[in-house]
Amino acid sequence: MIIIFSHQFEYSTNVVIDWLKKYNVNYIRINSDENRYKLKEIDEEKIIFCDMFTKKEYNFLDAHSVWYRRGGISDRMLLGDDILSEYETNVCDPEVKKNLASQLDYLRKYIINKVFRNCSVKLGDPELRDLNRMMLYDLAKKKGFLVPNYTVLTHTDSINCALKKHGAIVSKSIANGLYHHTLNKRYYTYTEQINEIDTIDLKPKNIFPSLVSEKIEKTFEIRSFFLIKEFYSVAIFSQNDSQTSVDYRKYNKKIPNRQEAYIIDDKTKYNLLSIYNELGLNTGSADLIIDADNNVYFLEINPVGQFGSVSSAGNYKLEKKVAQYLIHGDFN
Amino acid sequence: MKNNLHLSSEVIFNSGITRGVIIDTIRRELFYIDNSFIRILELIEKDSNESFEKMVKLVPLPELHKFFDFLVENELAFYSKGPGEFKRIDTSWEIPLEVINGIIDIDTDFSFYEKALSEFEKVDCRELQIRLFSDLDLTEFQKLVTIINQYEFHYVEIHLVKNSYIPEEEIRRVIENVWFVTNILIYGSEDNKIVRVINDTGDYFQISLGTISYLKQSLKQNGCGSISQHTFTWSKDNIRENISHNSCLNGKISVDRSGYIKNCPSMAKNFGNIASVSFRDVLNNNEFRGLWLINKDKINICKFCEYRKICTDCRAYLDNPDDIYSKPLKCGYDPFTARWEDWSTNPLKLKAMSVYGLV
Ligand code: SF4
Ligand code: SF4
Repeated sequence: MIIIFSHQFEYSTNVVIDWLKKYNVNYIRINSDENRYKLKEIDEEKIIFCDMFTKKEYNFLDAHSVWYRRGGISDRMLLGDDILSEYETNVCDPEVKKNLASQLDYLRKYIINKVFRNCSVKLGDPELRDLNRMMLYDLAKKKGFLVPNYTVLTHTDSINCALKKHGAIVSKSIANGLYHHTLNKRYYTYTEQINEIDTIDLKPKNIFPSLVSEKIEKTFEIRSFFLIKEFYSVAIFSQNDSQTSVDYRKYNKKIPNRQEAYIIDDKTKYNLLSIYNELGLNTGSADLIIDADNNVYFLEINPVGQFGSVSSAGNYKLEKKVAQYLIHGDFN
Repeated sequence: MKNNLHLSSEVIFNSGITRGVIIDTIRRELFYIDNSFIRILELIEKDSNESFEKMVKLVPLPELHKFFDFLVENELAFYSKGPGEFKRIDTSWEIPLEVINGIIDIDTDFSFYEKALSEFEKVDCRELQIRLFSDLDLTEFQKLVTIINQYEFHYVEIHLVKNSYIPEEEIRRVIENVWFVTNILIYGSEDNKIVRVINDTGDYFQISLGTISYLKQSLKQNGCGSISQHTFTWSKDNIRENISHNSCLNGKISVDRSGYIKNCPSMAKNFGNIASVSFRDVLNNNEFRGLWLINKDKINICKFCEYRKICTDCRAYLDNPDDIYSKPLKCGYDPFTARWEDWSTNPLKLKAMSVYGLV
């Protein structure tokens, strides 16, 4: 049996599962945004969850293989609807609430950790779902990469200093970016260039700690998906177009950027491998930049990054490869 | 010497009997070139550096440079840069699903509708086209919708004949309420127009739920299968599929208005009635599956056509109804003259048209 942690509408998970079905392999998909499974009991030998649709019970320790794509185990899965609503409405004291939340957290961690340790094939790591960007910059530098110089600003005055120091700067989020919708607003954090003109009307004051980094003039960008031992990469040419030259996610509809199948050079491969090894990760999605002098800059590694677009741009059939790995612990 | 020229991963090319074509799959542009330049593209694809000598033998140097400039200007190719390597992607095609899409035709007999839906579900078919040929009243229509709502498809389009019993709000409501019913086409309408259905809850967000297409033409079974530049496919996945498979029938299974299981409702050959035969059995039938593998390279005339990688196909209406490898009847293109003409007025097609009741 294979256990997959994901979200309900996660596209790559859907395709991987189609492959698992084709190969007739049993799997359980746990979507953290859905209440299909409910914890029944745990002891030394078993972790029993009940499928609320079919009423079938599963021992998660029967799994030989586990993939952490996204999400995890929600409160609802641990408590069930009745206790969850009791917990949410009746527990008012913040201290009590905090304590119960931490009880749940420990339980959650115990389950995931035990399932992972019990499986012989594992892909992804729930403990490393988001990496610390600045720590990662430092690690990448240690492993031989060029990394854009960065500064954390706490006062408006330092914006101009940063501009002077780095030439051109772009904003980055320190933790994961925001991706949030309300009824009438959408919040996204994009990488945005900061110009001197943006600072003209700013009154001197303290600001929320903000990360800016030196803007690298890129020839193209690379997105490289790592799976066990191999790298599957695409080069993205967004340079010729001011709408996308800072952050290619702001997709240009009129003249789409070119995405080219690409093989990263050996040194970059080696550097990336030693980062993944140090982190203990066997999959992830790295962003790199190539500048005009053929230097390779490290931007980030996202352990739960999307790989569907890399897969289709390079016809790499990554979803099939993931399925094969989950089944055999190998690609054959 | 120009070297390290790479063809974009998003660009494919093809030779034809009179000319070649470069296809930009993302920007949806076609560039016509002389076949001698197709040879050059093949050499570039291999290794532009090594085969430069060979290129010069094929095309005079100034013309070669002009061609390179043309490729680079249109971003069809680029000089490689960076420390890594650009690679040409393989064009193999493979998906985990056996059945890709299906068609159900319904006229006055609704008895097999539910059985058909459950058969589609059993073989994990996600995309469905439902064609309703008779004048339905509102209750009948609502019943069909209620039944399909008990299933989980990913995409359903419904083709209807315009009538006065089914009000427009009702049609809109179907798209709003059944998430996978995305497009509804109404034939015999006064005008040709497309109306978008968006969820209008006053949110900042407007999610497009689907479209209602009003079409002047009438809904006829033999109205399917027309081929033109508008029916070309641009998706790289579809193009890869087309290279090795039939671009209409691959992964398709259908039920005609009498409940017979066929590759497509317009085909003469049936593989038994849904009342007694399961889709599973039909899918294991070699004759049924054989049609999936008729790619354009196997089809007369089409095999000489520069459009063959992006063209759709039709195996139900043929230039020669007795030859399953003959060219689609409803294509007006002649690769030998590189000209499009109206297929329906072509005297050579009259005989086949009368066989199919198209005249
Ligand atoms: S074979 Fe022809 S008639 Fe049948 S579905 Fe395809 S295009 Fe339409
Ligand atoms: S000749 Fe064949 S390949 Fe060419 S346009 Fe017509 S149907 Fe398509």
